[in-house]
Amino acid sequence: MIEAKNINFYYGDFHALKNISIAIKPNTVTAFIGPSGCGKSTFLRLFNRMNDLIENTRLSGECLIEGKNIYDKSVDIDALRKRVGMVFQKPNPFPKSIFENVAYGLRVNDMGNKQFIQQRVEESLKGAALWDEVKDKLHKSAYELSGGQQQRLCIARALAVAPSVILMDEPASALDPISTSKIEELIHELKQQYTIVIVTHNMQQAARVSDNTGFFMHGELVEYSDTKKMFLNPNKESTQNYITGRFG
Amino acid sequence: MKHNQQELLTLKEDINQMWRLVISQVEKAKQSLIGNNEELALEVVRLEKRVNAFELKIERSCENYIALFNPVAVDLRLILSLIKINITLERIGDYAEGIARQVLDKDCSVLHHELIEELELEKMFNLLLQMMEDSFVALSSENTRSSGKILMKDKEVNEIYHRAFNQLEAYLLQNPAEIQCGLKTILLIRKMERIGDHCSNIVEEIVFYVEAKVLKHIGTAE
Repeated sequence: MIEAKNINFYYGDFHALKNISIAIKPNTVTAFIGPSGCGKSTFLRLFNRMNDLIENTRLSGECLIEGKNIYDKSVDIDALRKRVGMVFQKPNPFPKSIFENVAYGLRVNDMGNKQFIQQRVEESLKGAALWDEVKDKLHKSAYELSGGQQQRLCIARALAVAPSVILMDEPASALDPISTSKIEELIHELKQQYTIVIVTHNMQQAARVSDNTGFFMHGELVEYSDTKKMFLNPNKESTQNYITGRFG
Repeated sequence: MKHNQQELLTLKEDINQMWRLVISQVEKAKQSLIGNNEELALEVVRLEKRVNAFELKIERSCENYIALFNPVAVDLRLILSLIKINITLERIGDYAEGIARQVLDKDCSVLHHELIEELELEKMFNLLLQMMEDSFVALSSENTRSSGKILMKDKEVNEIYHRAFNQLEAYLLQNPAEIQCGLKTILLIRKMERIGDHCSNIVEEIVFYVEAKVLKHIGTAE
């Protein structure tokens, strides 16, 4: 279970997230939608403390994963990021082989011997629906893969360190429809084992892949509900105006 | 206005035009039956082609809107409702045409004036026309306050239908020579009763569009 309680977040003087509370159930896909600059990516990045890397920011409120506040001083950030993996908008494979990209997290965290790493790389690539396409070229450069394959490689890399939560920040926005469809199918498969939170500008994608959807605007979580309800009969007029394109 | 909203507006205008045509079909069917007016009956039959053309046009426009604009929320509900209202209006048009064809039926064109009165066919027609007009206004104004009243009118139509059935049975027992016309009259009042049911279905679709509530199979408006 992921829970945010009364989250306020500031970039300097700019109040980017305004008193947001949300509860996300395990093994579900939650989509965050909203116009650019509404705070959805900022909110997503809270869950693995990626915003810590940005200077002059301030946070209040609690962000709990499995009952523990991840902003507690005792929290080991590296351990947190193993539990909460992240996939970004643009595929960002390392300049290494396909195998080494997936093995990277295991090696730097000193997780297991050679045999264990080989096994985990294979499992992760299978989990990311990439194994059949790369099993004969594991030691070739990751850059030889297509954009869609690179994104699935990044998902495999996140899976390798056995997270419980995967954050995805517009994971398919740079991909063609076929690759996008593969990523969406993968998200559907992965939710059996992981809790997934995805930020997307593509509302149809949110409708297709998620169980619950949160609509953000001006730093506020305007509405958070079952995706079917959100896309058939949203509670708030501003949500309706946004998802039907009347907004702006 | 945004392009997608303009498309929806055009669609609504098309369904309104179709609706007016079907109302005029039912109105003319009523007048042709009560006044045994063949000219009006022929006009109802002629109008059917225009109603069918509207049905095809609106169906295609709805398909296109779904394919091109991926509607959600209120827009999706509108399109889903219009698809069903479109089919329903076309069926009401078919019934009006069927009634008109009965007027044109040479074997049994003249219903005794007393029988028409006794069966309350004019009242039934008037209720149907009110239902159609009120539901037209409900969709145009996106206001469902009248939905309960419209559905109640269907109950009145059903009551007249059941009474007419019994009256017709008694009439035919007294006038066995008119059995053929009697059977055709049963078909006629059945068509009218079905128009009432279809008007109720339309109201349910309007409530679904405006309020996102499903009234189907509940029986009365909430």
